[in-house]
Amino acid sequence: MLYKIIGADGKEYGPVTEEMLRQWIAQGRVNAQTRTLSENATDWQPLGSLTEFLNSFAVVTPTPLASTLTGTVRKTNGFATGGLICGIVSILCCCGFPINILGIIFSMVALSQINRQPEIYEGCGMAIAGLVLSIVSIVLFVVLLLINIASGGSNFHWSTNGF
Amino acid sequence: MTQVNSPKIKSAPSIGFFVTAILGATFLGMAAVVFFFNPSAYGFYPICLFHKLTGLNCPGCGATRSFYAVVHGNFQSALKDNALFVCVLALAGVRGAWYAQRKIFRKPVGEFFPAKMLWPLLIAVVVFGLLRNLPMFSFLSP
Repeated sequence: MLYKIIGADGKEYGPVTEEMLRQWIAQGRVNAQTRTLSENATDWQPLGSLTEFLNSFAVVTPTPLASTLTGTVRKTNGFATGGLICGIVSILCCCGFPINILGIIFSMVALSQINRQPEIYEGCGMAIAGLVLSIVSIVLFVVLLLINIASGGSNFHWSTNGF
Repeated sequence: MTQVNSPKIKSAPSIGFFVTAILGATFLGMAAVVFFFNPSAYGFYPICLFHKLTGLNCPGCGATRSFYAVVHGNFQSALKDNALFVCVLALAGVRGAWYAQRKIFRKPVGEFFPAKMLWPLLIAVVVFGLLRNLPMFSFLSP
């Protein structure tokens, strides 16, 4: 049996043998949605709907449950790390006004990614910490701004006033 | 069987790609602003409220002036204004170049900033912030 497929670049490939097609599946060159025309068929069908390839997709795309059972290492979400860094920096440095906004955005993206694919990502605690630090930093910024306005924006220096 | 071409592997750009692009563009934009407007001469830059209210230097104080000195190639005055900022910038630059090279040649890369490096960063920032306010280490303050 020979097959023709349409690749991700929109070009037609083949005809190729079933073994070749299985190899392409394993390499990620084609997926279950790839349009396929088999020798004896008249129209193009998604590769995943052909009965002879059903089990090959079951092998290459393990279910989330299977991957956690086999002990796949989850990786820390990059946005969670970024959010926490922004949170720390915005708290410690000049109440960093643009940085805490960035921290909130990164942490939110991290939380949504972790919620959507908990089997891939970890770092939920880091994202929450980043979010909290960023919000505290914004509150701190507003409070300091109000103190500054209340003191007339003048030379109110604790260090020069006997502190 | 005749030799056939294999379909290309093509995946949609990830959200990380867009974020990197936006952050890179923002960084270049800020570098351009700082390059043309000297922070010591122009007053539109955000002030450090912590410094204004307490008179103390926070770990980020002097970073804008330091950045101005860096983009003008004046590394001595950059180190004087904010040594930590210069170090972080240099490390990020080296790491970024290495990371980009690995990506371009499609070699496996880890995370740009591994989570276990958060503690050293936090300690460095806090220690730097404390030291630069001590009379003994006044050379660290801008």
